Amino acid sequence: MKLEKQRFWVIVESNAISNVLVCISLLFIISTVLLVPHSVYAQELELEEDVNDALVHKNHQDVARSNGGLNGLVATGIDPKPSGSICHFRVEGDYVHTSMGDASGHGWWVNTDCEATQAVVTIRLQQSINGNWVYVGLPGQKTVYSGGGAANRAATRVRCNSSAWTSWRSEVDVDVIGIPDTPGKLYTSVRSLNCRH
Amino acid sequence: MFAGLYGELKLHPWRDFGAAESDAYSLFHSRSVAMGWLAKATEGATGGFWGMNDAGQWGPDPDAQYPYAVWFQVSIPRLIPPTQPLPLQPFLSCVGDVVARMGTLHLDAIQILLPVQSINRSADKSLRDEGLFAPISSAGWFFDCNPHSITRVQVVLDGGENPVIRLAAPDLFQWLQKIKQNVFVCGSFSLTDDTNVGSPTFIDDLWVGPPQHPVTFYGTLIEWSLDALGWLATLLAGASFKFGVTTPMLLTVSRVED
Repeated sequence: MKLEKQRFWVIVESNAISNVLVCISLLFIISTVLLVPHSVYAQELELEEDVNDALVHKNHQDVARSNGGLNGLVATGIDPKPSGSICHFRVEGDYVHTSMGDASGHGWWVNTDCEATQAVVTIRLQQSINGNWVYVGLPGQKTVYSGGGAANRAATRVRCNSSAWTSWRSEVDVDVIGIPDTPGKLYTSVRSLNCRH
Repeated sequence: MFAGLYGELKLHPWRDFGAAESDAYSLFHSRSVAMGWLAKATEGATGGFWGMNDAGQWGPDPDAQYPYAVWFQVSIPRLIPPTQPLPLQPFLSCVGDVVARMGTLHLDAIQILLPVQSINRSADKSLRDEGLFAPISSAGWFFDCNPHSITRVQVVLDGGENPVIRLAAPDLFQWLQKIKQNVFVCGSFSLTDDTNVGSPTFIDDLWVGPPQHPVTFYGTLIEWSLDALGWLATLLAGASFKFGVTTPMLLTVSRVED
């Protein structure tokens, strides 16, 4: 009987430990299944509602790194639901150059895996005056398909008012239509041209 | 660098001009990337021979008296050591690939801006000849060409505002006759521009134009191809540097009909 009683308490004790483990497991399941997806959803919702077509969270790091040395800015967006997955595209530009008395530049985008098909590409020229980058001329803006092929590049040009050696670069911004995407811009390599606006 | 091609470009029948998805610009860019020749247009980027500028058909000035059938413009992103050739051969190779992708070109003449200013002058002067190593050592590429492909050519080098090429012309001519190669065999020269190729005023801002100090060399090219023309351009750019030219030059090569 004593033995039976001891066994009973062992069973009770064992059941209590099991119950605690079950409770911990349930809490873990609840937190992973219900709470985490909600926070992800909230994050997406926040992006869509608050920044309207532009991601502002950790992708800033990508922008900074990409501007540092890749051919074209590797940018990201979020495909429309139901997939809602991060997708990728590149922002491309050429060297600012002189052409028939103008400074000129081109910009385009290359889609890697986004569901979108078109983007608004905007290119602006900048010249360096006293060490400061100054926008010159009007932006070139065009809604284009991916790839930079015929008629799928945005271009802008500005008259050279003198042949003074001046540093130039372009700023290329790509806004993929229909998806929120990174706000980062591509700044092309600085070129020294005998052209000043 | 700039290359303008005169002649008739007959587009492939499946390329509907105006509706094709690619053009000279995008094809040149793609080919440059594929071959590892494109210098990336981002700060701190390394590698590649050139950065993309522009390209097109019937330009750059469509209103010019003699617009190019097709033209290409790139920039060299950094100084080239005198021990290395200017990347004219890959440049014209890329141009040739693009043209072949677009159609069939009956090439009458070509104008190329030789970026001699991109050779690093601060390097040891004893290295001035080293850039000529590549064209002279690679002349074997043209061994066993079809002997019927040998073409008589006029080759004009123009220094624009810089007259040095005219002063260097006799030495350059003698040197051309002395070197052991048969890709370009030079027979004579004159201090005039004897071609009937129009002067491109629309690219003057890319060099020290307009053309005003020409030298014409007469000779034969082993074949009338962009490959051989790239070799010739590399040779003449290196030779010009050897004889004291440090500014861009306009090279015009045209076929002489027999």
